[in-house]
Amino acid sequence: MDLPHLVYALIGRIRRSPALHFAVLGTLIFVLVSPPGSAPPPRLVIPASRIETALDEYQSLSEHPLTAEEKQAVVRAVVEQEVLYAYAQRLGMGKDPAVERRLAQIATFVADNPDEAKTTEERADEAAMLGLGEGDLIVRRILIDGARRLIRAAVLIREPTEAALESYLREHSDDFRTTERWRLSQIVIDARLHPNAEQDARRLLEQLHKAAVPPSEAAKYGEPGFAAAQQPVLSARELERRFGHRFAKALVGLPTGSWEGPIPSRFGFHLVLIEEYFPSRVPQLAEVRNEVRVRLREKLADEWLAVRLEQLRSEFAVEIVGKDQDNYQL
Amino acid sequence: MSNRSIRFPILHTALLAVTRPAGLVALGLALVATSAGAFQRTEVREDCKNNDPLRQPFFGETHLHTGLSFDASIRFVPTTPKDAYRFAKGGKVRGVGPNGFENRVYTQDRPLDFAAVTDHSEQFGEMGVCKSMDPSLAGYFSYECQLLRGFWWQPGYFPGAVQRNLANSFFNLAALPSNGPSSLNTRMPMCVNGEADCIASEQRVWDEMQQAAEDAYDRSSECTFTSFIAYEMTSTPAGVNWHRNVIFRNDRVVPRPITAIDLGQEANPDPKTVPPKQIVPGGPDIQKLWTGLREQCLDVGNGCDVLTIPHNSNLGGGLPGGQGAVQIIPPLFFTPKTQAFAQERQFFEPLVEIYQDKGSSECRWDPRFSSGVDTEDENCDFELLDSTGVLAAAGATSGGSATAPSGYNERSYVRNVLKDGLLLGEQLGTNPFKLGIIAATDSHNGNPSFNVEDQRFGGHLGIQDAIPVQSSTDIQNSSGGVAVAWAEENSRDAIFEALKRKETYGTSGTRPTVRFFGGWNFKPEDCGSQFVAKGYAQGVPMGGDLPTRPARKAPTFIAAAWMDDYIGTPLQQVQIVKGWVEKGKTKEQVYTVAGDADNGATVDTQCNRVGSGSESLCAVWTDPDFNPKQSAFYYVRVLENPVCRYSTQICQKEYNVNPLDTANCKTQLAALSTAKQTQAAFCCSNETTNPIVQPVIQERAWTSPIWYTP
Repeated sequence: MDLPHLVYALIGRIRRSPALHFAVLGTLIFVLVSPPGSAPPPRLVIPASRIETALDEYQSLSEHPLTAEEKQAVVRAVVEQEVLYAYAQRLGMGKDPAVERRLAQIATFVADNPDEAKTTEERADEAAMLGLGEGDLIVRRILIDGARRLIRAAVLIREPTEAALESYLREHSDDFRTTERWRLSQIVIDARLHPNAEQDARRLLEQLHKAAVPPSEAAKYGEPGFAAAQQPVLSARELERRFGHRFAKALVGLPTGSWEGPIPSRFGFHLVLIEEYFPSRVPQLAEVRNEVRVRLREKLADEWLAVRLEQLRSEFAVEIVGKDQDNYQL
Repeated sequence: MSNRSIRFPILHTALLAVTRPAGLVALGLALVATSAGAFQRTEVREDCKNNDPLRQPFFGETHLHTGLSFDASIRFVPTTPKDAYRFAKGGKVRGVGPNGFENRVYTQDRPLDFAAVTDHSEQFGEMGVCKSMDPSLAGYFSYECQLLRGFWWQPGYFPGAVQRNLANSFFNLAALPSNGPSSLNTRMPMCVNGEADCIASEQRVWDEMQQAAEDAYDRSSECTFTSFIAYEMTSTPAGVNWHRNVIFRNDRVVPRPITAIDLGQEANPDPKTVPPKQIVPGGPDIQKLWTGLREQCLDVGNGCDVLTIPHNSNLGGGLPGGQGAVQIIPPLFFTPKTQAFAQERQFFEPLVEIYQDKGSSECRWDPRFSSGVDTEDENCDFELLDSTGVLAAAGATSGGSATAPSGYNERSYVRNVLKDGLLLGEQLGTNPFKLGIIAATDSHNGNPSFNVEDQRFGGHLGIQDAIPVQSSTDIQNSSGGVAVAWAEENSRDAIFEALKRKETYGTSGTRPTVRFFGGWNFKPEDCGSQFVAKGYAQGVPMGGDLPTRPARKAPTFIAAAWMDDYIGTPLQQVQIVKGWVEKGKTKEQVYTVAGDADNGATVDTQCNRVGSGSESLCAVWTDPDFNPKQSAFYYVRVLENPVCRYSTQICQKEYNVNPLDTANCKTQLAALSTAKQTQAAFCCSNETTNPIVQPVIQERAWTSPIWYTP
């Protein structure tokens, strides 16, 4: 039975908390398709050398002896691939036209008479009979990738509900927040013209406070710098482009409506009056629907794949066989 | 055109039928006026809220590859154009480590304003077939495809060195027959036999690139990001770099890229009966690129506009023909035979990429020989490559040995090209090399402007240089540069016009702000004023031509720079580089106009910055040696205080080998395990070794020149 398609048929009924439901559903299917009291699960034998090679490669990269967690992660990755490979074969994906063509290619290559008229299927059967596909990395890759895609497809072919989108946006609101913005007036004391620019700026700040100078008159003070006294509404990035990194960073948390400073920048020292501050906000779903949809689908597909992999692993009696076989924890 | 129809007879007819109606109907061409000038709006979009008539510096990437480039795919690079644009906006991409595991993550902590993904166009068809996930396509299981998608491979099965060797074999297979030849070009065998699939796949890849650019482009009034539809034309005759990035102004582009395969001097014969010819003296016919772009873009009348940017002249010095003989393959910047060609070149190529991962192309001073390539400027010792051809620099053949400066074609370096341009301008009536300046990365990891100058830099070519300090060629690769355009707003039209008028500069990776104006009346006190408005009103910005000379005047320039206060390295000096023609000979002179070349700034052995510099520098400079009868150009070079190069930081932090401790470096290296010794093999390289590497560098910026013509 093609499990993902069965899953697809069933998930139409699921309404809320899709990820959780997939897990429950997956277990349900597992129970359904595993006949009660049936024969023990099929053996899945992995040569220890395969794990050793992967561990060696990983080790050669790291700066330290591999931790137990790292070792386990590598073992898990190798086992995962083997399980997916076996699963794909169980689903009959070995009869996939792409695999058959590849097998036929191999069979033709080793055949006594490569010119003999035979169908792709016949050739593929020959290769399969000789076990030629077993060690072929291309066949393995097609089957493993295919199994992975098939499992993920069960989720991806379905549109998430409006409610699911809304709740994803709520739960990941920080990923979608708009950037904060400022509208400000500024006066610059040019460091190249004032040896004591910071002091001069402090003195001017006192004057501004005393005289309650409105932002519209900012241009009358300080130097005619490289940026206008009155700035449009700008994000931190745009402010950084105009005034540099330190300036943009210093604005965060400044109160609105009063002259503040001095703030250092590459131009000198600034006195700043923030006229309006537009805090960052979480947009409505309509504004970011596509992005939310893409991310939610990917997340659900990943979660479903993880759940399915766990189940699949328990459907096989995985054994690592060979030298040092006991070193690897499954 | 004959060339095209022989290659793709079906496509040719299809092209004529399928002209893009997109945007045509709604296309209201509008002039957006500013006081500095005006740019033409050729697309449907909102005006930007953040518009500055005195222009703003926009930082971007103009040269970037993803897993859609054959030479990235064979090195297991997993990224797509979509990933690359997401990265440019401040995102992350996955990267491949030295054994092929995708166990790296690159993070762009400095979002870009604009970016163009420029994958190698010659293999779009092959990439489309091989990466289609559609095994029914002829060629899907071909040997080429298996190599192209790294399909034989699973993590841990082969050691990294084996993977790199396989990749390099394929690089040669791909690069020599289809990128290299001057004529009788052909595709890979799988596409010769499965032509229809390859044509369709080429289209699909080109569509994917366009779609990725469209999806990334912010057409709202927020104007947070601009993408450009682009590709790289990768003509490499006999290993000589003739590459160009082709960048389109808006979403109206050529139906299919015009590639190196279209540039043969003769029409292509049937590749099934005639083998590809590797070298035809004279090189490809580059005019065919521009003719194609004219016919299929500029002349279509739908608002399509385009420019081409050559790069790596340091690897484009030509193939000499032996003692006294003419060159077999001319350099990237060869001497045009006619004024018409010079005009064409000036029209299509307003810019040159002066710096990228594969080294600096500004100029060459080699301290090992105490001499330079037509220069005595010792600051030209920056990020030099020892390879003279692109195959070696790309790691496909073994690295170069130290070639004396006298062994280089002088046109390998942009400053010399600019000087020769003046001379050719006098001879031909048109300067063919009137080039503005930008810099880029040419990263093949799908991570635009990832210019980190520390141990985070993970190479630029997937598995090949994932440990950059382990091979003599890889350690010479730099962390790449940034392109900067002075434009009114962050939109395609505004930035494209900035590129076209050369109001641009390039940096070696940091982001200082640099202004440069030339005129006849600037006063010393102008630095202390709001000189930008005056600069535009009474002079020209970088990339311009000095206005007509008033009697008895020498040109005056305002050169100003502000440090990148995110990185925090102070500025050391601002220089003006002048090139001119005197009695039929080209000359150059470098003037320090602000700051202090001997400020004593340096780094200690642990890479901490020592000494002080300037947060900003400005000078109004009058040319003391001006002769009104001599053609001349002036460009600004800004040097920052010294910092450690990324390779120094990798060696120190990852391997405990200190390139700055020359007395003990080799002992430290020898104390490592054998595996680590292999990885850190070139850590003790410096200015005296082969390969040449500067453990301590001065990051810098180069502006477009301002020209004076008598």
